[in-house]
Amino acid sequence: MYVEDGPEVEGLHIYAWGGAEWRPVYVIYQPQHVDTHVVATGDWVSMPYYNMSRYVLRMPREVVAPRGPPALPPGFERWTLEVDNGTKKITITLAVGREPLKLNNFTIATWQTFGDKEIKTPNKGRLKTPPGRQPKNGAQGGEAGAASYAVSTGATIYPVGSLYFGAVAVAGTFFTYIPVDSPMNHRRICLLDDMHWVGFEVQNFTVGVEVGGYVTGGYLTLEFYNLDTCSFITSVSLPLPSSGRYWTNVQPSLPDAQIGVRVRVSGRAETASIRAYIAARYKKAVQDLAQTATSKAVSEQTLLISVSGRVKVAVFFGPYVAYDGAAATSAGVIYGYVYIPPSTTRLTWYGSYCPTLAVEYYVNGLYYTYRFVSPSTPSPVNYYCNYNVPSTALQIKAREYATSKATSRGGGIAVAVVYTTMGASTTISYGGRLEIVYDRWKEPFRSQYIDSGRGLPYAEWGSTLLSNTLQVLGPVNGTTTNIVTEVRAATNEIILSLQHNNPALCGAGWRFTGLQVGGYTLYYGNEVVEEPWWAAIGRRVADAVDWLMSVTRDRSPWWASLLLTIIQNIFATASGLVKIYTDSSATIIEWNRGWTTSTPPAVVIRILRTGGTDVRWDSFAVMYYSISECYRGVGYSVNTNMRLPPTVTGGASASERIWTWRGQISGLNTDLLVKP
Amino acid sequence: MVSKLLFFSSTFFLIFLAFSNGVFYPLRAGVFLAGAYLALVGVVFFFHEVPRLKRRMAETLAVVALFSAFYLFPPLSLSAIPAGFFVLFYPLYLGLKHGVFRDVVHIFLWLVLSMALSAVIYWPLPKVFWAEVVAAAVSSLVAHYLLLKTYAQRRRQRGEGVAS
Repeated sequence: MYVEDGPEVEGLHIYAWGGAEWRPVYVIYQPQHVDTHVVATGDWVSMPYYNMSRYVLRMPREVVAPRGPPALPPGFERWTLEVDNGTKKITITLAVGREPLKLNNFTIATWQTFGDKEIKTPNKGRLKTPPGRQPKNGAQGGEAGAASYAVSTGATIYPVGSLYFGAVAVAGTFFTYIPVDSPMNHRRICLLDDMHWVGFEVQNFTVGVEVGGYVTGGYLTLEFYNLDTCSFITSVSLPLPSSGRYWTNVQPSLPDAQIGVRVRVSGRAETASIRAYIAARYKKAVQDLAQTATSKAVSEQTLLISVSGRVKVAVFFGPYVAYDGAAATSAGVIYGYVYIPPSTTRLTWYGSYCPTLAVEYYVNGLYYTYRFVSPSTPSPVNYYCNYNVPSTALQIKAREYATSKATSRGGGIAVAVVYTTMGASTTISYGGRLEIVYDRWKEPFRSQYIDSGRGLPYAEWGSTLLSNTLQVLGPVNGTTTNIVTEVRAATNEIILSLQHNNPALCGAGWRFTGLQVGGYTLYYGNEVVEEPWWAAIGRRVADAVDWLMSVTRDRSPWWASLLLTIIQNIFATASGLVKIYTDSSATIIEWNRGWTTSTPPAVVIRILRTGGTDVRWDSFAVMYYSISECYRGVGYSVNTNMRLPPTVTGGASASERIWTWRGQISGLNTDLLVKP
Repeated sequence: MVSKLLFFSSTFFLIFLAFSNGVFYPLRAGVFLAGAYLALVGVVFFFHEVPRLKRRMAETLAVVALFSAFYLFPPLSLSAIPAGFFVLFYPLYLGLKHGVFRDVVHIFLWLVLSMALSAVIYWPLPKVFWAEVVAAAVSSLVAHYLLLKTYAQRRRQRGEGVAS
């Protein structure tokens, strides 16, 4: 049943009476393909755009001639669907609710999807909702004030994060867990394999599945565990779509403990592959603004597009990485905005009067709002009609962010502006940069981001940042180097972490002012870096020679001293090296990968902090591996005034701080601004 | 002439290698040690002719090859320690064998004097690795020169004494 101009159904579960039981109704959003100029690559592609008020309701055939539905399940609303196929009209009763129906141990979820092609059906439907329902979809798409969306202290926010699973190949009758996709190899928790760390204060999930091939009688089961006690909490079993890519929403009842999840799939298939993409929503109390960060992405400065012979033309910005933790309000709007700069459009027009230009705005492919722009002059001047499209600022909705994650696009934020050009020769130019600004919960799993048991910040979230970056940018530019580094300061220690996706990266350096440090421990992922046996022997022998040389006097910078330094260096760099240089003005901490190991995707250096009351993180640099050696590479300014507080008063959130810097070496530059 | 060229070119090469002040993995370490070997051969024979130059070059290449082999079999890197002793002491042995050093005492005095000089030369220099190379090269050459002059003077004095 095709529904146009229908009400919002995302986040709802819809059922129709099939004569014997309530049957799930799938929602397939209908695409509109528009020729699109991708700003990041300069390519023209046909892209689908969706208006969430245009969808097809796919329901079992039995519901067309129902024998009168019984009473609605408790908690459900009665909607009616009036269907006209041109020859006759029928009315179908639907049960609609936020919570899915449950049958025995199974949750009968209703899945939704973005259709690839428009489905042609003679059955036109009109949905009637109870009085007082929400306004029709798309009608609420207003423009945001750029300054009005910022997290404040004391606010309760709802960050959205995502979980990362790989693909599982199945054949025959299968019953298997989907593996966790972790660059830091976090796959086994509480002695259970394939456990994904979710975190604390978990609210609900948007679960996306992608079934390649064909599965019959399939189920997807989410098993939730309490990781504090390593105990099973509950599970949610969902009937698996037989094929394709769908998402749904589940709201399990979970305690405020450290949560983990395993995803199990079962069913029958000749051969198939199954993936899961899960977005998790959290509820966090903002005690300190340092718990959040403001991210800002900007487009290239100038842009001029020429096109002709197309009815509609889209200009596509992004996708920009919006990291896990994008903070939303209780109303489902992310703290932030998208600023679209003013553009000038010129149509070659042979008519007497210039038409009005229709401009539509889409965020992540979903319709947001529109405007009509009048021509500068009523009649063409030298056969040109000119339009000055003013700037606008849009709010990002959590729904668009979560569905992006659940449909494998990783929460990237993309904005498209669609111009109705009516086939005329057109030029579109932008006078400024597009800006995406949003507030992010920096540690998306805990209101207090220090593990009170260990006294350390939770390390696991770092890998989700990297996974997130790779997932978002992968389709655009797989060769882009992405680096995320963070400095976490506690009273007694400093923890430096680095995640990246470039195997050629072999070292990094952090420069601080006012920091005094002691010993260190080096981790790759969450494992301490061990010294090989031969390196330990060699280092001890070299140290003994060193002692003999310096027993009578300080080591002179002489040949023996040089040779010894080099030889000691070989053993020290076998598995990984941290060097700390200190002078009166700065402390530089350098890490180099070992020459016997490949480059780890995640590096953590834990350093004892011995002093410094006013510490500032000045800069960060990386090194690259070439011809068997590690060479100094690019230095990045991390924007100074990142002061690491030494205070020991005011509780955990005041005595620890995390500063983040990330760099994407590509045309899509993203800067991170951190609040003081 | 060859020895002077050897000393200066290898010393400049070492300064270049040390300039990054970075980390030495085996390949760069091997090249550095090979360079140091040539510099030491150059300084020992600075005022003489380098004996069997081709063989010295082969030894230099062998050092680089040995260190490169560490990547293939990492425990082999334990051989870096004897290789270090070879680089330091074999040029001295060659010097003794070919009469540059008069005796073992001469070598011992050269070691002590050049170490002392290096501390003096290094003192005003920036505290970085390339400065250590400069201090080592200059001190070893100056100490060698002073001792050779001293020995020559003593021999002359002794010769004059015998004649009278």
